[in-house]
Amino acid sequence: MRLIRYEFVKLFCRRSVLVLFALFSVVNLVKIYSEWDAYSFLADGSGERSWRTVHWNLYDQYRGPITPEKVQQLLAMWQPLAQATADMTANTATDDANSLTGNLYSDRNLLEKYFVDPMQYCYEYGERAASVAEKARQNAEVAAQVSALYQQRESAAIYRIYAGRTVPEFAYAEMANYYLNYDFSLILVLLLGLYGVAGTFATERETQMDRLLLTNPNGGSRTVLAKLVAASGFLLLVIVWFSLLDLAGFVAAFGTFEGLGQPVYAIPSFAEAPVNLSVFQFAILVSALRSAGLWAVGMLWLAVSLQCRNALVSLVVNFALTAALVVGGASVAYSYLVWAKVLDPYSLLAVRPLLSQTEFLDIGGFPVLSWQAALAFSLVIGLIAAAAIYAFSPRNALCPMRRRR
Amino acid sequence: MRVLAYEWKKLMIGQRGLVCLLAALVASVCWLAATDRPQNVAMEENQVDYAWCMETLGGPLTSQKEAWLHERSEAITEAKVDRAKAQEDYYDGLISAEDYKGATARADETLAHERGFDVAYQQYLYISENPSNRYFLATNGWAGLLSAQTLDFPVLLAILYLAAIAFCSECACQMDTLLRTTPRGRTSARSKELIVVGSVVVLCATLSLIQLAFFSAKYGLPHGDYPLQSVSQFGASTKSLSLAEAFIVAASLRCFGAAMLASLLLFVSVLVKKHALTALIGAAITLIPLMGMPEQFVFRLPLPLAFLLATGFLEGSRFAQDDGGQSIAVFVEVSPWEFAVVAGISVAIVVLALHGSVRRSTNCWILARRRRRGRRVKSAVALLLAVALLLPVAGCSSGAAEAVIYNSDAQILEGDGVVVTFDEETRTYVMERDGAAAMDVEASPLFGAFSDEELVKGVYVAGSCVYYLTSRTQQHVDRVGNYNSTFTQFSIVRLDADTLERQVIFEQIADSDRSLLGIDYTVGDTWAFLPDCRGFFLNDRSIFFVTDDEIVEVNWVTRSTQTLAIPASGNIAFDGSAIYFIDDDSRLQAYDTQTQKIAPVGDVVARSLRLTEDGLRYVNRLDGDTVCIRVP
Repeated sequence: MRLIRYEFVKLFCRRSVLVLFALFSVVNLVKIYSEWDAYSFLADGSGERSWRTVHWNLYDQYRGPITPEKVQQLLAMWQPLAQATADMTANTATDDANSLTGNLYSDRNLLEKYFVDPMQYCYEYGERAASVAEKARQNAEVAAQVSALYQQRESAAIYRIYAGRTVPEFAYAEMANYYLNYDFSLILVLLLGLYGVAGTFATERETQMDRLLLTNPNGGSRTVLAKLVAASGFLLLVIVWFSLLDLAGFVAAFGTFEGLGQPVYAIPSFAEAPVNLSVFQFAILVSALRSAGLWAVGMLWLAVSLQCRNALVSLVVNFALTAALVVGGASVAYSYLVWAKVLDPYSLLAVRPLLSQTEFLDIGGFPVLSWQAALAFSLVIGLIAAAAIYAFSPRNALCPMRRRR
Repeated sequence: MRVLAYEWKKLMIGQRGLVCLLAALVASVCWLAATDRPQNVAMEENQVDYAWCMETLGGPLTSQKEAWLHERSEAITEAKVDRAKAQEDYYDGLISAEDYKGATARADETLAHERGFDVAYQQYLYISENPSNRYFLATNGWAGLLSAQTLDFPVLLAILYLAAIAFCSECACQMDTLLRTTPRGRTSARSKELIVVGSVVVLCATLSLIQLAFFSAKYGLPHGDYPLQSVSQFGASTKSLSLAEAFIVAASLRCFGAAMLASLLLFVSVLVKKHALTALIGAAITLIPLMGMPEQFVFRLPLPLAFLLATGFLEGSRFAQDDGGQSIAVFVEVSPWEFAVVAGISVAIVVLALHGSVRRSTNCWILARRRRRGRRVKSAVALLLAVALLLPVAGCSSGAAEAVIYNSDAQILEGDGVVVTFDEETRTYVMERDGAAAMDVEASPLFGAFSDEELVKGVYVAGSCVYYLTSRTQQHVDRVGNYNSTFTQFSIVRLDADTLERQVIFEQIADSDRSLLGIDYTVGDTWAFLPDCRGFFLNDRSIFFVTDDEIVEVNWVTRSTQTLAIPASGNIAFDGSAIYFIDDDSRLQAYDTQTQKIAPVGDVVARSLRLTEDGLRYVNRLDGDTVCIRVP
């Protein structure tokens, strides 16, 4: 344990790592704030008739369970506006006393964007999910007729996921949407992880400290093991920190926790999410999957680092490796070629390509959800890389002889 | 000089800088050769006809050329009508064979260069928007060359390596302190700067020259003196540059960007004294703005990235439509004074960085002596950056060599124990098998459930396998904020009707504008035919996509596309080895997919055709429109 702590402090509590950590955190927060500023319509203005004020006033009336009364009330407000503005002949004054925001078109846009469309989506989701489940049930029957066992199991799995899915409550979804689609921090995580981990073994080889270490009672395999554990801890720390920072950043920038309790499929781009979790639970799952992905990639970095005599060569080679994984993963991110996604740890890091679609992989006749397969595969890759590092790291040839004596 | 030679040997040979430079060069060139596709496929495929049009049109648009274009366009329309009329009259017995031959020969003469003319006419529509600075010329070479003057990932890695290793290798063993005490320590630092900055500039310049040679050999680079705006990517630009000048400017900016990055990294390396940290800072100052900043900010900041993405300085403003139909500036052109400010600051940064790194590597006693003598500031240059590109998804081969019956306009397709019918009402393809309930060919309950943009565009049945083409339009969310960009993906899925197993055997994104990891790029119009596709069929070598007026053959292995000289307006039949169609003279022809040759089928003149189990069924025009059957 002391050895692990020592390795952790030596490798990662360097000034440069800490400065980069702080710097990248600031860059991330600035980027999150710029997302809010650039893309949320509620970011502009703070007067009484600004979208922000009007939205939050109206929101109190419509949040919570979707009831026929609320729907009627909303339609009664929106329909006249929609009719009046449909032929673009309505009053264009910006200080209209009868309007909420000062302008009729602006009122209609606000209502459509933040209330009518999202509520309609939530309202209709249950029906759509039910039809998916029903079709899956029919498919299972058809598959049973021709004894197509895999197709039958896949249909049953789809049925289990979609049966009974509804979005009973209406909530502000903008923050959750932007949060779930944010992945700039991934670049920062990769750069920071790469910098921290890439030189782990190469630095010691460079200064020939590795030979000296072998003569130490705690050197050799013990040090290697300690380095592996310390590096894993560092990667985990990085991903957890940036996941927390992302969530905190979005909550702070948008100034609300609303929407975190909604089911994740209440966000339209996650309509086909294969998990029945709330946005907050989903965020935890995402950071767990990212940890696994980063750990697998990190073990590959370490394996490269073990083979390099120079820390810079290790960094450059690992950089090229990461770029290849990222470009490869991004190019198949929306593909039907599920295997290609599952085999690339980048998919697990980006997560969205796996968790925004219900896709299965046929493994021994059983349908396995793509994210589960990717998780298993990444863990296997990581374990193999870690075992290889442990097995092929240099040993002191005299140690076994001594033991024999 | 000896110090320079010694440093060169140490950096390039001892520390393998030369290997790294060569590796970057080879990787970039291989990538270019492997991934280059013409920006305008039609221009490339019909280059002989297009060159014929350019003999008349080449250069600026004039009223004579405009008149020629209108005249020719009308003549082509008339020739088509005359030809069709002559054909009708001849087969109806109203005119003699000689008259018919004369009429078709006249029409064919006019239609000889039709495809090339279509390309030229499209170019005319673009040029007529602003004839003063848009000229007629074959643009594929220049468009490819200019779009290649951008971030190159292998070159970025080479810069990171060279700049990080120059000073840090000595810092690692504390040789830097020792060097400072030698009489030539300062010269050594200057030599290192010169070598690193010089080599990255040479790398970029060499790469640009190789690209010049590549595009010149592949497409030709005619009329370098024509305005830059002749290439549509730069259509909105207000810069008064010729194409050749634009290339020189872009290549020079790229070299400067590389020099700037190298200088900054040299300075960073003498400050932090660590390889890995230097390389990481290099990667961070390049990649973070690339992925995290809007494009228009990048070109207004004195960062190496802006110069490495050189062509952005030459492009004009771009606008996109938002939901309400209003146009939003996606990219605002960099004005000359903005460029001057950015370039001025950048040059100052380079000079300061180079000076700073020499100063940090100099003995303070020498500095004190120097101060009395005054200083010479020596500026130098540096280096470069990177790119992410799309990997075409490799297709799998299919094993469909058996005899099949395919008609492109058929509503019902039959195979071994399987019938696929197009249901007009629900616009879906329904599969029926012996002794099993009917089902949609795309049975996934999720297909189209949450989106109206998921469709089955065509079906092909061979044996007991059903192949179907799906199109799926999705929002492409590669980075936050890029919600407006969508992509349409086309996939061919093989469905085994017996086991209901599905396998994707072809996949391609057809949109020409999209982004990968937040980096916008275009892929030319190679796959622009896919959205118009109304059917397809395939054999073990190629897939054939039938669009409204042409058939495009796509090779399984190389994924190269080729437009076949087959008019596809009528029914197209395929029997597994040959494509049957009726040509412009109403003659029945067969295209052998193995030999790629067209041969007439007997002397049949037909109005329409259909492939059936008994043979080719057609309406014989030479026999009073009777229905005949011919066994091919």
